[in-house]
Amino acid sequence: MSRHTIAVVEDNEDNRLLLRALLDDTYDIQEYGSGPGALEGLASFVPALILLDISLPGMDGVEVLGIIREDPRLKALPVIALTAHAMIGDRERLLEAGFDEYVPKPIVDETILLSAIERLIAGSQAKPDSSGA
Amino acid sequence: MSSDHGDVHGPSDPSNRNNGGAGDAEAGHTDPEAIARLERQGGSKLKRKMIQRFLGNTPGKLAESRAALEANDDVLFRRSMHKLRSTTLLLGALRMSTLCIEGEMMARDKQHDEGREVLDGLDLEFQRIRPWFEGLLEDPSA
Repeated sequence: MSRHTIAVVEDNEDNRLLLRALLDDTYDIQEYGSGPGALEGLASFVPALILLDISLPGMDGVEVLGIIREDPRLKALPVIALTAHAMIGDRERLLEAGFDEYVPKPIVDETILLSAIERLIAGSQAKPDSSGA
Repeated sequence: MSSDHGDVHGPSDPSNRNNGGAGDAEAGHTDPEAIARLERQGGSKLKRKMIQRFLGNTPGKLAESRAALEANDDVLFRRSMHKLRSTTLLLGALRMSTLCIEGEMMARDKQHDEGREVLDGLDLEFQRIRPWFEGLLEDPSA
């Protein structure tokens, strides 16, 4: 059975190491260290889901998401926001921006992340116009 | 190790806490739960790798931050503080994480003198907690 691919867009290599450790038993991982790098990669390969850090250098995660949502190939792609900012209202703000879910960093309870990924991929695969790996 | 370095601490309260003993975690400075979490999430291999990276990379990262500050590059300084904050949170280097947040604020507000104090504080704090992290690597059960 083929595995789904998750794109991880995170400029901090330590965070990428952790995410890979959490995910690579179940998913194939494609890592990007920047927003432009991720967008370039997405031009040729569409993953099943994107984990997208909000605080990226230059082009931040919200801006990257905006570009993703404008692309017909990618607009239905599940995207989870990763952010160290856990102020009241942050989750709602990010969902309003178009993210499908929000996971605060550091990841204290990885089951929250893993279940969100599973749920969102299953949901996107069930849609007739879903795009995914 | 004496912690009486109040004249070089960051803008917030000086961390003049007594060392709990070489090899012991210090409340407010290091968080064993963060290390236990890394081991739970990625095994001892991930834990060791992250600690080794932290010990090996932090001096260079602090040097880069200082260079950015001295070049009046507030964007780069803020970015470097944010990245180090993220790493220190992962490793449970609590006081360093707090100082990084202060560093981000100093960069945002272009307060360069205070930024230098934060970096001095980070240098000292890293040296303070370094033995504890090194001890984790020496633990045969790690």
